[in-house]
Amino acid sequence: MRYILNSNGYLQEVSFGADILCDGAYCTEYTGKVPSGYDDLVDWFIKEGDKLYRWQIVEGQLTLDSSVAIKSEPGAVFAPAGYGLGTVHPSVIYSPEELDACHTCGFYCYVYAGTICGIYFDYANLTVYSIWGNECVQELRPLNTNYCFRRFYFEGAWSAWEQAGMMTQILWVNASPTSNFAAQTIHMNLSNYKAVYVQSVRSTDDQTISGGTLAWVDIGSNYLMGTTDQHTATRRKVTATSSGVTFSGFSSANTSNGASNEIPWVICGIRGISW
Amino acid sequence: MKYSINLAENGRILSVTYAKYAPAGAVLVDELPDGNVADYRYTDGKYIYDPIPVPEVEYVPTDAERIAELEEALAMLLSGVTE
Repeated sequence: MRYILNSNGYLQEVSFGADILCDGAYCTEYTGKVPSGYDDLVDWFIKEGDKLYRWQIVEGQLTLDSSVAIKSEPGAVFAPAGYGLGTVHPSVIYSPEELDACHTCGFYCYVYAGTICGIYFDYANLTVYSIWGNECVQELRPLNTNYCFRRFYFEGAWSAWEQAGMMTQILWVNASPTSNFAAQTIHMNLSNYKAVYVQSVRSTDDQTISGGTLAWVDIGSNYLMGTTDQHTATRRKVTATSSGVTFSGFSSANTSNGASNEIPWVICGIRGISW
Repeated sequence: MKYSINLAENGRILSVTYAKYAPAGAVLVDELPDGNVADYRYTDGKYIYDPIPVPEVEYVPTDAERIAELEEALAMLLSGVTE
């Protein structure tokens, strides 16, 4: 590991197996011990890379100055810049404009308080894959989520961000699945989803629930959920729009209280697919 | 608040979910009423027990019952013809 110190003697930048663009600063190879509590220097960097400003080199050893407060403003973010890539790049990208201009292969950290594909995030790991010349792929993985977004730079323009891979998300759970369920609309923002699926249950004597049916409903469409027995047809119309899911009253040929059947239990949103 | 309740215009509880799934502006409560929540109305921060009457349902005979009834009627007709 190599490091550069700032004018106050604290770590400014570190690099593993790469040449630091020192810009006139003195790059030093670290030969000290692994700080206590970390498996190795990489583990230390993974956990402390966003807080280098708290670390000094004292008598050749990485030393934490606990009196330095942890910063909360942008920049105090884990940035595995340059690891294994041969060149350290500016490790933190702060603006969409900088992101648009970033075509160089490598790992970065993207600080962005905004929304992409309907997902809000503050920080994301950014990976840039170079394809040919200036053409490349950017892949954003917001921290602490399972989301992944990609876009392509081709013929001088960026494509729209697309979510990579199908994602399902629980949007609503019935907190009283043994209770009757009359006709109603469950309001939720489905503008970023392609479809919903609804798992229903059946209530008996208001105390027990049993298996129901699973309905897949495209946004902007509807589906008849339930069974079609000629005497006890238990069906409920489910309609999904961008503003919520509407359930009809219960359609039954023989029931004393239709609201106790096909009770919605879980509603999940689906996106990241196309058909 | 733990729960969000979906109310009809007259305050009847239509459904309940957990607060994390509540839409903006939803009614949030700490506790739910016991049993069937649809038996309650929520007014001025209080639950009012007001169960919906269970409607009487006209009895619909099964296929077996209808067959048996038809067979009995046919038997009566045939007995009348042979007499």
